[in-house]
Amino acid sequence: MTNQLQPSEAGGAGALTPSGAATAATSPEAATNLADVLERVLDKGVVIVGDIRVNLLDIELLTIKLRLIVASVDTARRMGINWWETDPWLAGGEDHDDRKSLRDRVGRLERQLEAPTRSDDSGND
Amino acid sequence: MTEPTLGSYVYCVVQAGEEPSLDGLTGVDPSFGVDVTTQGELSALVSRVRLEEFGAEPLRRNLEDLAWVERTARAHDAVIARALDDGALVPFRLCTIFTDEAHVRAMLERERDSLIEALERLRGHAEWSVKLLADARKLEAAARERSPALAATPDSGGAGAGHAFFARRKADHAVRDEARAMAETAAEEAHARLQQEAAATTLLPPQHPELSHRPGQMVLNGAYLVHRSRAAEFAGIARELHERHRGIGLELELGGPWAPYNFVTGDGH
Repeated sequence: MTNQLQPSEAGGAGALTPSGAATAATSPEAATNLADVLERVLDKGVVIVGDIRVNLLDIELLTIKLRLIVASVDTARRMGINWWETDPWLAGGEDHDDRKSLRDRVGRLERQLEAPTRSDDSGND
Repeated sequence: MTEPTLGSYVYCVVQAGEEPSLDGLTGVDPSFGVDVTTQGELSALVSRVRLEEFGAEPLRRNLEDLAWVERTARAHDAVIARALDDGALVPFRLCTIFTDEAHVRAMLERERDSLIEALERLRGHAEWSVKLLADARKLEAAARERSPALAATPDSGGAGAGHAFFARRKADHAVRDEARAMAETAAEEAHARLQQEAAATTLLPPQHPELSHRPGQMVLNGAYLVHRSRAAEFAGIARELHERHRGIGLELELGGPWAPYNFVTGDGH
């Protein structure tokens, strides 16, 4: 029933079964998706400078770049450049569509309502 | 016929004598297996890497290549996962590379005190992940059920279509706010409950649905350092929370146990 919400993510939705969701994974690496592996490994672990110097900033920048790549340019633009730091509830695409359609409808309604509003005002006085 | 120049890639450090079996394990450079380099009480899990791929310059390029990063991160994680089964370990950051074994030993000597401190602190613990995902539609339906007054749109009588439209928008927003408050409360309560079983916790930024490939908005993304003796309880509580919240459109996802990646510095709380 919830699938209607996720038209483009059939694979993801299928992977998250309610019964399995709260079951301890005994071999997490088998089913772990890319986002989880990167979240766990990428800028984590003890920082000890080796002989091969990789600027740690490079890795931090990379995490941001990866998120943008995976999310696609369109999505990134829709959500603003720092969408990953924003409130997920506000960053949802649905909300933006809602706001736009609301603005459009308000515009239409304002034009439509101009005449009736005037007659209402005169009637109340 | 020139031999490739090699480096020594360090995955993690364990206490000497507690090294896991490394049979059949390949490193981030799949041409090489994983070995142990010991110095005093500490052992590093190490593998050779070709510097034509892992040298500073190629590394900078490769870190821009998502497929390379994924492969390397998974191999890194797999070696560390093997060590987790056998006791305490301190995971190293991805791509910590030395020119040779002697330099790895020198590092173990130099960092001895802080590595031993971290090993002792992490001994017996593993990291777990708990994510709470909100299905907005279900959650709003639950909010309407819980507070019918919020969703009620007063009969606008003769006030016209415009008035009714705004009354409906207002009711929708009230329901949305209520749904959001329910999700936040559930996330806070879940975190507080799980925290009781954890030695340390860290809240991570929520993953965006586009990236996580999970349905729904992530309202909690917590990492928990849990002692082995509390693991069954911790998982039990996660299951309990999952059962309690799924009816209102919140799915709890439990991951772990894995190496304490988020807790190496000891400032987790």
